[in-house]
Amino acid sequence: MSLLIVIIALALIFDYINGFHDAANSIATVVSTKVLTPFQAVLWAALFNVVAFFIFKDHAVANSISKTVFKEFITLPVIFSGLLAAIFWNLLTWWYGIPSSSSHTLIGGFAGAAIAHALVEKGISYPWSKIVDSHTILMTVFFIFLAPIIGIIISVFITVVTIMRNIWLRIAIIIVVTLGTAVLFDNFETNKMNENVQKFYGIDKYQKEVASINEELETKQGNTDLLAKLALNQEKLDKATVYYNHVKPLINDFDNSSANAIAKIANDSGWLSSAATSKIKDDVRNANDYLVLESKAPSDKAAKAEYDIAKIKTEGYKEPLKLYLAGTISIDSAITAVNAIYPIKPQNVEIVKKKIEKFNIEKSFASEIDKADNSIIVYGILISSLIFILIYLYVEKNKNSYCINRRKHV
Amino acid sequence: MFKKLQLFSSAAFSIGHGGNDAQKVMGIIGAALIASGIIQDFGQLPSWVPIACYLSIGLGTMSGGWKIVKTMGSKITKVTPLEGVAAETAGAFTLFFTGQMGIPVSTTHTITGSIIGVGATKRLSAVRWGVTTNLLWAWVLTIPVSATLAAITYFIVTLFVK
Repeated sequence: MSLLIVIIALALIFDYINGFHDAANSIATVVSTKVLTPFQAVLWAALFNVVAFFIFKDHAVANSISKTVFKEFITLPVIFSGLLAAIFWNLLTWWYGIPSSSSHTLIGGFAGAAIAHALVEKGISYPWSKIVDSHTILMTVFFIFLAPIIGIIISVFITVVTIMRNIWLRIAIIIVVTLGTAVLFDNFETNKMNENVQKFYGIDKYQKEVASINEELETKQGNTDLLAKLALNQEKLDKATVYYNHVKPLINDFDNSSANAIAKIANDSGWLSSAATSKIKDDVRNANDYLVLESKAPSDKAAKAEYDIAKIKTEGYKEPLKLYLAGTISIDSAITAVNAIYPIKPQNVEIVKKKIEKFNIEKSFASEIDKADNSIIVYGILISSLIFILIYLYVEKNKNSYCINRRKHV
Repeated sequence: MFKKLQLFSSAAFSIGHGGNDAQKVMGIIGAALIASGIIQDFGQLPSWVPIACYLSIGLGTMSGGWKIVKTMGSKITKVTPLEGVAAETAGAFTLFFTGQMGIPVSTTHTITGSIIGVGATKRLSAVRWGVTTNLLWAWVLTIPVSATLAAITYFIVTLFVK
């Protein structure tokens, strides 16, 4: 527990250094053009750093970072070492004036510590592709080059458009580009929502499960246990896909409705009920220290044995919880039934009860959809192009009247 | 006129910066909470985590800015308001775009690229390409070097914490 607190403190320090490190980027241009005094510029930048909290709701970047390393190898010492190394490198590059990236340092540190940990645990020959998620790493490396290139292209574009002589052509280009961008972001939104809903139904989980069983089957051909497991997962996957296909058209029509409305329709039509049972089961077993067991399992034999039992038995939680959700039995009898299947520790009973009471499938489904809503960004882009256009028109008008005045004097 | 527009573009860039960089730290704290079994999935991240992250990056910007106030003045390259707007808008857009896709990118790289772009529009020789190549090396080396550092740190840490 104390290591966790140290990690959180270190992470926030890292974040603070990051702001410190990058302050120059944010305020240099406004200050050097004397638009704002340094004091105002600093406040302005800090204010909008915090405003970002209200705009980025999905935490997609945070999610990618936490998934750089496979769960099995994320331990507190790993995170601790990664952070320490990242802070050290960050301060070093800052000292020597190298504009290196704090984000890449963080990813590199995290991955490096995890690889060291895995090699100690599993031996030198363990494949790296099973320790770190190669997709995230490749994507990040790829964007080391792509991000500045995108920056270059856009800034060249803006400059070229601005110095163009013909104002109407200029405005036409801006309108076309703005609409294109708005469509692009709208497309992202729909994709992201679909992805979130698929995750909600566990489609990605089942797909992974099916793929890994298939892989195992290749070495143990005809193993009946595995075949049964495969069939079970395939069935779950099919069922989830059916529900997802019901919801999909509603999501593609999101612009004309809202997350709450979609969630209500889905819930009323019964498309959420089977997902609800499995989610409330997860909630109950997690409130009963299931995850603590899971994180101990790889390194502790006793914990591993207990974890394997818990994993299978807690599946049985679904039955009584389903009855509770349908309103057939009370919360207390649901807990009694659950306790009979796999015991809830006495100190956790209250937590479990609270979790069950708070459970609301419609609300969590709606928030899953809402997370991908990026309308604010789209509106921001539309408004800023409008401002650009108005300014161009204003400048143009002044220029013309200036010319006319001069002609009169001559 | 572009001077006032810079208020918007710099605000947009700061939003992109906050949104991208604070999230990376949230990712690490989230991973720590998952590893210690407090939450099971990233979706359950308690709301104090993002709030604390955004506040500390804001605080960092504030105190870092103070240091720059002293050393700035002459050091910073000359940027006209128009170039400032172009660079910041381009940077902000790139950060929004990658933020939506969930790709961690560097704000430093993004704004550097945007400034290079603005410079290159004037004429290609306005960009100091030698410096740019050096930068590129530093960027490429960051991940492997910090990974190695972290691996060494891990071996030292495990001597004490187990």
